[in-house]
Amino acid sequence: MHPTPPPGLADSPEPPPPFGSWPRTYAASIALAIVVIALLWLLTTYGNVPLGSVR
Amino acid sequence: MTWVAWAVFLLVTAYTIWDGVRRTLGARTMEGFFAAGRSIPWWAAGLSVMATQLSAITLIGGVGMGYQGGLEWVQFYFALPFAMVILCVWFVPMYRQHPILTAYELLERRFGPATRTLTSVAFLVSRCLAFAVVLYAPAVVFSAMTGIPITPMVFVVGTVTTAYTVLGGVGGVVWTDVKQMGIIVVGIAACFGFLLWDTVGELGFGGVFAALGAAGKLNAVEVTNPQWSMAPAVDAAAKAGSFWSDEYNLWTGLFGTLFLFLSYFGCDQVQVQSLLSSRSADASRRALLMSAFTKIPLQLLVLLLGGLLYVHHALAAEPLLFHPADPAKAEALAPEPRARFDTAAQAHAAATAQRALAMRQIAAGNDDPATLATYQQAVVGAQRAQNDARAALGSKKDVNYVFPDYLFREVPKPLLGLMIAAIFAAAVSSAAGALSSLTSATMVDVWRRWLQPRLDEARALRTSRAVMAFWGLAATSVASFLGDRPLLEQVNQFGSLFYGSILGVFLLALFAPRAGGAAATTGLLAGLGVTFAVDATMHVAFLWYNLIGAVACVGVGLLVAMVAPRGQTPQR
Repeated sequence: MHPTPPPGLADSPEPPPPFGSWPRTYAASIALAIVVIALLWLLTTYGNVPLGSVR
Repeated sequence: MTWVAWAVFLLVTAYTIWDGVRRTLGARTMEGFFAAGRSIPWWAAGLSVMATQLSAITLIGGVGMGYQGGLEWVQFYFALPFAMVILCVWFVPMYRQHPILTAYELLERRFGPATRTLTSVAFLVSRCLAFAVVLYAPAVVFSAMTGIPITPMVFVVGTVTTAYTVLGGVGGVVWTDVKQMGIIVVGIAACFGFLLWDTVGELGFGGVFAALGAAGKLNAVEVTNPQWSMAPAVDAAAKAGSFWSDEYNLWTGLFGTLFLFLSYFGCDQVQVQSLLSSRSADASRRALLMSAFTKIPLQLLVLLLGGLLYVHHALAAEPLLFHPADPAKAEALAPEPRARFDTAAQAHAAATAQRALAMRQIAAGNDDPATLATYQQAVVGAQRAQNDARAALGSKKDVNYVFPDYLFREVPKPLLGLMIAAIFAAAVSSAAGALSSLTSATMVDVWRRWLQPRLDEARALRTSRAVMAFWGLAATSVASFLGDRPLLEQVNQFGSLFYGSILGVFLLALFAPRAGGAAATTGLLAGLGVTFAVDATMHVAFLWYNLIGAVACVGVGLLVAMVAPRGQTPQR
């Protein structure tokens, strides 16, 4: 016979949130988004030559 | 298309739809039909959110935009992760507290029936035309490429979509979306690999990177532009220099699209239905975050695919024009425009020869300013010659034909069949999402609320299927009669006229406890009025409409709430 699951878990078939809790997941998501935008900014700054900027 | 391409396309498409529908046949209740019995796992809901948003024209046009404009379009998605976190924190709990089937049902609990009905009708108005165009837009492109007339093309997409959505309901749509998203990713990755192999083999990885950068196509973030003025443009002449008219930069990407995504993913029944169908609030949160963090890489891949195609054409022979009907139109030109067309063709040939030479030098590591300047002049010259040739023909922009032209002329036939299946999947998944959401809003917010409140489940389900078939056939008929009209861009912008104001109503529901039905309804009408007035009098990039509508709606709603605070309103 299986033990009764603690309240709140029986009706939640999903695994726990990534990174342990939702606030930490949100913080990680925002940090990751900022890092991605920063990397794309670096790509633009150092890899792109705007048209008309070279004469 | 050869029989091999047709066979791959038909097999892949038939399998995805059959497998999606077989999982969900036999819904017995409205909740089973419109929310899949709240049984969808988070990853399937997340893939469905992505598939619904990725329409065929986004896929085809995205490659064309990467080809012509570089990476700038990726900025459109910068706000997506931030919007998804906001939705996870405030919107998901709001929806999952109640056993609702549409987003607008919630508004009746908070503001009363008038606000619910008005918001739902605003959704139906903004969506019904967009649904027809979702069917029509890819049909126009494929009709041009295959020679099959538009009407049968629209009929096939519309009938297939309607049939499997009526059979499977939202559950069928979600499970078909999962397979379709897989095909889209495999198709894009295969094409990307094919072009990467081709271009890197000739220039090396660093060479391709240098060639794209020197052509100004690695422009993923635009923070400032010396040409910008902060005054809104009231006439077309001032549009080019106005910050508010510029569509793709860091600021529209962070602030304009933040409001667009909050509204689209948080208040638009097309997307909310996926969140309502998932197993739990946590599953809905996971689905939203998953789609946020897979969308940006996928969009980058699509735009880089366009960039690689640019390098491929620059090294070989770039077509002067991409629309397959244009050569015949050129043959039939009168002498004067024909002379202008020939001049443009000669200029294009000279510029592309110069561009290929300079591109190879830059890829080989020659970065002296003279070579760079020669290359950029050739890049601009080739593009100007293409514009001149189109002007001589009287043709519209052909950005949506860049990718199909390549697929039909150059890729191996099995890959062509797979890509056609991917583009068809993108069209059908967006159309199915629109169809099921139009039906749920019609049935839950209008029919069952006002016309037949005591309809039992079995009859409600039969009526829902009939309403769905009606919407599907109506949109297919409208799309069949649209002809080759310049509607595509306008329809995306048409949605933005409504999104901000609808979001404003939900923001009032969440954050303004004093606001009642009068405040929400007045705010919604004020938001719509201000947005339509801005659209009629100024040249503002449509992404800002979302912010303008939301701010106007919330501002007026708060003012009304101060004068006439919430009284005996329905339960929250």
